[in-house]
Amino acid sequence: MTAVACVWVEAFAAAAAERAEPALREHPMAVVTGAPPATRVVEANAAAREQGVRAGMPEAEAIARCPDVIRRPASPACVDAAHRALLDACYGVSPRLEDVAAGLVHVDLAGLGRLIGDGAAVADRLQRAARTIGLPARVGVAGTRAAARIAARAGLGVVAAGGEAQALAPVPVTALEWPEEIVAAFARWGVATLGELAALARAGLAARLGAAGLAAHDLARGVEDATPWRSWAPPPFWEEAQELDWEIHELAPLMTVLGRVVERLTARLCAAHLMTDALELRLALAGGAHHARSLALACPMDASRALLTLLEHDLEARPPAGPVTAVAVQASATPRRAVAGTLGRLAPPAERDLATVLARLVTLVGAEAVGAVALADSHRPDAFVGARLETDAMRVTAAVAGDSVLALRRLRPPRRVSVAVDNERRPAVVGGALAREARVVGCAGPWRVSGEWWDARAWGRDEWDVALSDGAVCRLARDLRSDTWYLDGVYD
Amino acid sequence: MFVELHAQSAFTFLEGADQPEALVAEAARRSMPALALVDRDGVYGAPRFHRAAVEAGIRALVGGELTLAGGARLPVLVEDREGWQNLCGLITRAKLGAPKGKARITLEDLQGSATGLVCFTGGAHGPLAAAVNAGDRDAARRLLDRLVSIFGRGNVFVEVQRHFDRQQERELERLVALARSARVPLLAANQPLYARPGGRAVADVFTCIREKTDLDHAGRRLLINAERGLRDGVTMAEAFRDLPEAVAASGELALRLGFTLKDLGYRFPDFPLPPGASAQAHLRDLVAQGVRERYGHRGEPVERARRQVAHELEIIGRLDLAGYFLIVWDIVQFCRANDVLVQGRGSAANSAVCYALGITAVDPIKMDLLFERFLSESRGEWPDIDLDLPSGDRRERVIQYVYRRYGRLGAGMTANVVTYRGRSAAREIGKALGLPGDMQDRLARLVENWGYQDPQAVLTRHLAEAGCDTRHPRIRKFAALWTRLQDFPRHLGQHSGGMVIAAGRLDHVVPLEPATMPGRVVVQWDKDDCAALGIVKVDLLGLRMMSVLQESIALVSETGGTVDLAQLPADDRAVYRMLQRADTIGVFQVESRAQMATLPRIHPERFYDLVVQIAIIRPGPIVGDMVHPYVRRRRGREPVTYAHPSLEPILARTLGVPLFQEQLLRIAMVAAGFTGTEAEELRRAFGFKRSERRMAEVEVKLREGMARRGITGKAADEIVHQITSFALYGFPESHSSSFALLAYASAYLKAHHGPAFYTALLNNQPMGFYHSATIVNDARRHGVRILPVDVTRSDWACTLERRDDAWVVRLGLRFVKGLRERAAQALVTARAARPFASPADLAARAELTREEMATLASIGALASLGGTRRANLWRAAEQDAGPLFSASHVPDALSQSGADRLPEESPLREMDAHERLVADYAGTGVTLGPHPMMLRRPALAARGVTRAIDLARGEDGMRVRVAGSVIVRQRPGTAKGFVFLSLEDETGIANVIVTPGLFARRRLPLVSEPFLLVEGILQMQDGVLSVRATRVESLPRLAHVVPSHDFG
Repeated sequence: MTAVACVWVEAFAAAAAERAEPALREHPMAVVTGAPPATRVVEANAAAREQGVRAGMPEAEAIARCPDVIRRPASPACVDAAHRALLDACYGVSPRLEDVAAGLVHVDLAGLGRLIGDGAAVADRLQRAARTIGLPARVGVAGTRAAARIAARAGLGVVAAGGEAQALAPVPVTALEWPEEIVAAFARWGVATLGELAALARAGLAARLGAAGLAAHDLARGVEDATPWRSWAPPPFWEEAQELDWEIHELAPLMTVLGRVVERLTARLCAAHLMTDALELRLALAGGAHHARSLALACPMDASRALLTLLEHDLEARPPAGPVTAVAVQASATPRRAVAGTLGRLAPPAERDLATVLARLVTLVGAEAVGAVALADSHRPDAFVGARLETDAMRVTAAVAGDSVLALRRLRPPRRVSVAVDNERRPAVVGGALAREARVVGCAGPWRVSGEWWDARAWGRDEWDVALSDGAVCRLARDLRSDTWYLDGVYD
Repeated sequence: MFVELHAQSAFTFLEGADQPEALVAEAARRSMPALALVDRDGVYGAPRFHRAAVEAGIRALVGGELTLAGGARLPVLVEDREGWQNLCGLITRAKLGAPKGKARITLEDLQGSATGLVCFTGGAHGPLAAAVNAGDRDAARRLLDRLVSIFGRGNVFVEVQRHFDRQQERELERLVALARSARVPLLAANQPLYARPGGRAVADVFTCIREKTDLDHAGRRLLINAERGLRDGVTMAEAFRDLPEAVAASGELALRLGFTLKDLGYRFPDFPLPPGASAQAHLRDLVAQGVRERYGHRGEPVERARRQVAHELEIIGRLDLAGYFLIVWDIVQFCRANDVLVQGRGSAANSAVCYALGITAVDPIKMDLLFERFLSESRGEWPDIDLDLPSGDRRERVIQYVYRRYGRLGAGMTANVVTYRGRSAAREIGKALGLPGDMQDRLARLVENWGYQDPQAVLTRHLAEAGCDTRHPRIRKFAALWTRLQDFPRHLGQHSGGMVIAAGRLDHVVPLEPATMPGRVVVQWDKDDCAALGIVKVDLLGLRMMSVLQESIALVSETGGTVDLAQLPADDRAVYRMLQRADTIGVFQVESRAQMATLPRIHPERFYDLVVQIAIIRPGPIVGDMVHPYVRRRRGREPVTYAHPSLEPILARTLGVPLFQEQLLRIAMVAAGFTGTEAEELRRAFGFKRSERRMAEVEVKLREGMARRGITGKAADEIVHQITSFALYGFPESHSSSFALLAYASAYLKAHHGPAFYTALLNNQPMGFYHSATIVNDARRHGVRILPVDVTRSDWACTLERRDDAWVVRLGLRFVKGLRERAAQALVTARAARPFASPADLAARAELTREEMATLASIGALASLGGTRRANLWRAAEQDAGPLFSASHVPDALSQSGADRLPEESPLREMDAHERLVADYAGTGVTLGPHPMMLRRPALAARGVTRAIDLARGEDGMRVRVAGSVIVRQRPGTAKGFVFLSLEDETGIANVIVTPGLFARRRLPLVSEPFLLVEGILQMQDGVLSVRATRVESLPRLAHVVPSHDFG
């Protein structure tokens, strides 16, 4: 019978925070999430737990219970890093691991007997390995993964193979996490330990709790999980690099070298049925400096030519500061996306071309200046919002029906003009419109619009349609906040 | 001349952005002669608009916008009383024919109901807008012709508006062309939504609330500019210089509209009288008969009563109110005849006529109560009679009787206008301004204690203290908007019991709306509006204690006894002993922690002491420092003195300490020479809507009056202090007397008919101050046996059972958490047909769910059908096999289900005492097993913890430890930060006082721990025991939560 070890770190988010900031170990500390006042404790370290701080508790209550508690915001990056470190540490003991959850790893002990020793020795090795990377892990060893997990949580250490049910029997059911309905049922039935749970008739449990009941019963007896072992291996490193025997001073030869590097990289990606959605380019320069660039792609791709073109445009726009002595290209891998109608094949060329064009545009004018505009839902004249550029959204909109027989040619940006008003505050003379100065011979308005009074961007203006003595018919606008006049447009 | 004929107030809910009074004030400021309020589907704001306009000297014209099928709104104005009746009728029809909160009417409905109404075509929401906007001239013309045919030529106007909006101008051109071709006159209006331009912000916020969005996303749904304020004639003439006839038409039309709310035409219904009798004569006969019944035929009391009723009848006659008294009497008669307990309260208890008619139960002559507080000729108001009725079905029966008697359209409930207040306003404004969720929460919590503030104070003090950046424009806007929105109407609710009735159709006086409860209608005005317009109101208030009394009496008669509330012995020693011991859990009005702490000190010995007891624990006497002087004087530790000798007759009964509102009025009358009306004004000045200016004016008047009578210096200061400090919350003596009767009755039932009283009390939970668990423990301490829920015995409600020659209480199924009432009733019905053979039989016949069966099993309610709690839980948990899982698919034990299979042996361990306790609390909220503290007693005894019952054997000042489950936590606003706890153990309740300092240090356990151990100093004062805590410790939690009454 094979043996399995379970490496478990209690309150992993808190342990990860302590790993990142070891001084926290000396104090009660809680990891919190949510914006105040709805901030809640995610996990707490042992010192905080001793003073009554619990997961799920509002931050205010945690402070009331333990005034010295130090709070740290929950950091998924910190937890990921700690978990990755735990996997690496375990990987140093056994090559066969199962990544179960954050802070929880199964280790297959097969073949380790001769290398390390018995279960206790392996457990000790795993514990030390975890401690080395700053994580206080508990290790349980048993013949099954389920039993090993419980052994780790309940601090049973090594459970003799075949004796799982007996060893687990005194463990309180509250030491494990169960679905809500199971917890309620156990509370009602007075089931306090795994032994009491295991003693219940399996069929009786099935009749009452269904599949969840059977799973609970299996767990209580330490029966092996039904799920297959999902081996974990360190993720591959998608990078190709090349050192050069000579220094490259020009773009063309550099592109030739880059072409070979990129081809090797895309070939590897294709073999793994992957594409890339971002490239990292690193060039080592003569004199020890580096030139590094990140390129986010508009859509995932694996075509080396397109990628090379993007790199070329980027290098054209931002050339390296000196001769190049080595190149490295790293790809961020992403699963290949199936496109409707072309299952499993590459994205249609149009999309790829558009992505390339967009990338070129971004290179030329910057990301913030590329996209589409859409009319904003606002009374503010000419208000628009930036929108994503989508080819299938480019439709011709029907002209708005109206009784106006004139077309307004808008001036963008509007031209500042000088206006003299009459005693009714209506425009009388306009300077600097089409002619140098013109009298107003006909006038309609004001049309008054204002908005965003609730913000620093509050605005307001009066518009007038005026016929000028020089024959022009224009739209004038007066900014009510600055009392400035503009020529907003000319009627044709 | 221009008159704005289309103003809309905040009663056009979530559109109009100013109160009616603000519109009137602005109109007056601009010297406008008249103004018309035309709110959407209602005349909610009309009474306030009318009152304000009368005060400002402006003509208040009224109308309303009628929502047509399709959503357009047709504005109409009232020309005469018939028009008003038609408008009210139309709105009623629109409201009653649509879901609550909506209205809908068709043009056909208008046909025949348009007399006296003038219609115009409205603005952007008007009926012509859609057709004109779409350029459909024919459709617009057809609609206009139709309106002319309905309202008549001369009564239809095409409304034109100019808000400096380019699009609107295009439509205006079409409207003018349409009006000219149809020969319909134009009418200029601005349709103001607010008085001044600043109202635009409120209007935009309302748009966001209505559209469920925020200002950043509301886009073009917001107003285009700030031109929807009230405009005067000059501005309008300028805006319509090309259409002067449209402006002139508004003034000419305003002159035509002769109707105001003064001419409402309300008439109180005539009471059906015996042939040849007048209402006054009939009332006199009934009162004479009542006097004979109440006071007998001879003696001093009857003579005094005759004199008093004669005086009252004379005033009633002069005010022509006999019919009103007869109608209230009629309602009371209905209650008596239909087994509905009824008692008048409030100022009606000051009237001997009400007492003689059986409307009230307090003898105002014996109690020497002030009739003028109830009714005075000078006030010019209808009297206010409140009737207390048992809550629930019985009260509903009375309400339905009133509907039947006066017609479904002849009676209605008064409205309760729900307004924006601190928290709701903060939340809505925060949302509209797009403030982050957490900041909305923070602001909503903060504003609760701000009260009324000017925007600058809100901004500079409160918001700055709360850590908000007061330079941020949105925070500044929040401060301004929050202050402005206070008291703005939000929607219409229903008053808890106010009913109005009218001769003929009430819907011709005021529009009616459907209430949430089926079979009820609500009038569009609240009780103050109704009172101001002379519409009579009767309050039919539901009081749970009345239900308890009524149910107790019925249960007593079930057990062969009788209780007649009218014949209770006035000086029952057991009742007073109970009150003196503060043994008052469940007793009306005197069961609170504060009442209990005062009862032994006041030591009630007669009925009037109880009247005082009820009135004394109120914020008024507490804030006015009147409790301690009264108690000291009552205990003989301080001489009874008076601020001035003239006050002795008024204050002698309360030992020189003013405790009642009536005394306050009399003091003002005697000491400062106020008339009855002036005294009433004083009460109002210091009343709920107090204003600093009015209070200062009245105080000056009070001091002047006193000075004229030679009362100055310290005596005057003392009197002013007494009056000003508790006028706000002072309790009327008549009210207190009515409550004291109920308190006495409930104490009597508790003392003499415990099983019936506790049964009724448990059946009416939640009510009062304590949770059922505390009431059950109290019952058991009084020797009342309580039996658990049993599916073979329990009904939905708690019942009485005869056991061992005693009556015991059987808990009802209503206590089983999660058990549906319908399922419980099915259970009772099925049981009556045939007893249950087994739990499976029960589940099948009563169609109980698995969860319900599990709860019944866990509390032991299935015990009579065999099996232990756990065995039944094991059985109840079994799932029904569906058709797929018939015998062939599932192994043996799973294949059989239901009653046709032998019960499987339970593998579960039986519950121990602690587990039973947990299951009881979880399943019913009460336990009949040992008190949780009993289970801890050995450990507590080892730590020197004293039981509650043993505290009385201690000595004042000794150090003690007490422990218990916390059943009450209180921190009254009047207690300067002190916290009061009640800890219950198996022997009784220990009262704990926590100082503000200790509370600050140990806040968390004090507010959240269910079990506490308190160490402190025992205080014994006049028989009141309390422990002044010096140390607090939480005891380990059990797996259940004992319910407590926290900071209520």
